[in-house]
Amino acid sequence: MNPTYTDQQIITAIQNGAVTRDKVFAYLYDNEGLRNKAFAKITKMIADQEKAEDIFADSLIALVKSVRYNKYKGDSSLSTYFVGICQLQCIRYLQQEQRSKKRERVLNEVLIHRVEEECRIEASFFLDNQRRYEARLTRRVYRKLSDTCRQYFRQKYWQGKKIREMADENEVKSQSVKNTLSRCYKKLREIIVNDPEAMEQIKLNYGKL
Amino acid sequence: MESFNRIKDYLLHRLPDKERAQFEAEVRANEALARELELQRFEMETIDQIEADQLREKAAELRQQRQQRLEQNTQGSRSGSMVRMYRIIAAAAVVLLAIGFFFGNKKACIAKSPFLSTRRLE
Repeated sequence: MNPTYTDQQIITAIQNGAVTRDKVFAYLYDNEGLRNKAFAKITKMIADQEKAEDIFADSLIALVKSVRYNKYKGDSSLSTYFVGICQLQCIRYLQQEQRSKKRERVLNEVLIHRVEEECRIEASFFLDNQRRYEARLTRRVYRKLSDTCRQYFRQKYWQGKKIREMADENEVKSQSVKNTLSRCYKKLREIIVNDPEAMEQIKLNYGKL
Repeated sequence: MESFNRIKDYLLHRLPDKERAQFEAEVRANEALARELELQRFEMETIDQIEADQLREKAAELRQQRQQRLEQNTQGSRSGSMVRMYRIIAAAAVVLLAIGFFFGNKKACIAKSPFLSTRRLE
């Protein structure tokens, strides 16, 4: 039988990057109640079933990110909040598809406001802030990092592992983990600074809080 | 390091409101800090992107598993309904045979019985 998790357990697993986080992600992905609730909203806005599935997965990733960034305040249940994210992801998709239609933009604004009210959600985190740096740019940067650096960054910042735990997992000494992390940081900074497009975007955002 | 952790806490919305406002005021006044903040934000988003792509792969895997489960269930229910159909056909065949046997026997009885056959003649 699949385990069930309370909202609090889900949040703790995501925030602390506990070992259960992947299990929580799988649980949320397959949870029929959550899927039904989400798809009821998604399919009203997006007819294409394939796209609807993509939006559901992207919404789950956005949920994980928003919990990690302390954006979920517990003012609504996690499932209501998630349904709100699904709607915002649909709007984001539709905005990309129908950029020129003014009427659609007005309707989207009304819907965004309603979702913010109903789901107690900060829409800007999912619509604007997320696009401060395009995925294309960040992807280009991380692909220049070694597999070890990527793995260490994930272990440290997303799985919340301590240096000693990382040392055990990677079968190296703690000092080696520290050195590698420091080297990876330097490398990451170097790649960014040497990427003219990334730097141009960064400069455009100076002082934008 | 202190600045690094402070920026990280700011980006992760972990600073209390008062400290957050103070930090933002410092960023507005200090271009070097503004640059550092933005660089660190980009770094964080890059690390987030690594994780997001991993989760996307995980989601694709889960989707495939789900699809397979659904297909198996559909096949299971299909073969289940076939079995049900065969049972109904078999039951109908048995009933028809029984009816045929019953009427066949009745005709034979009528033909053999002198009383019933004479009455019919009359």
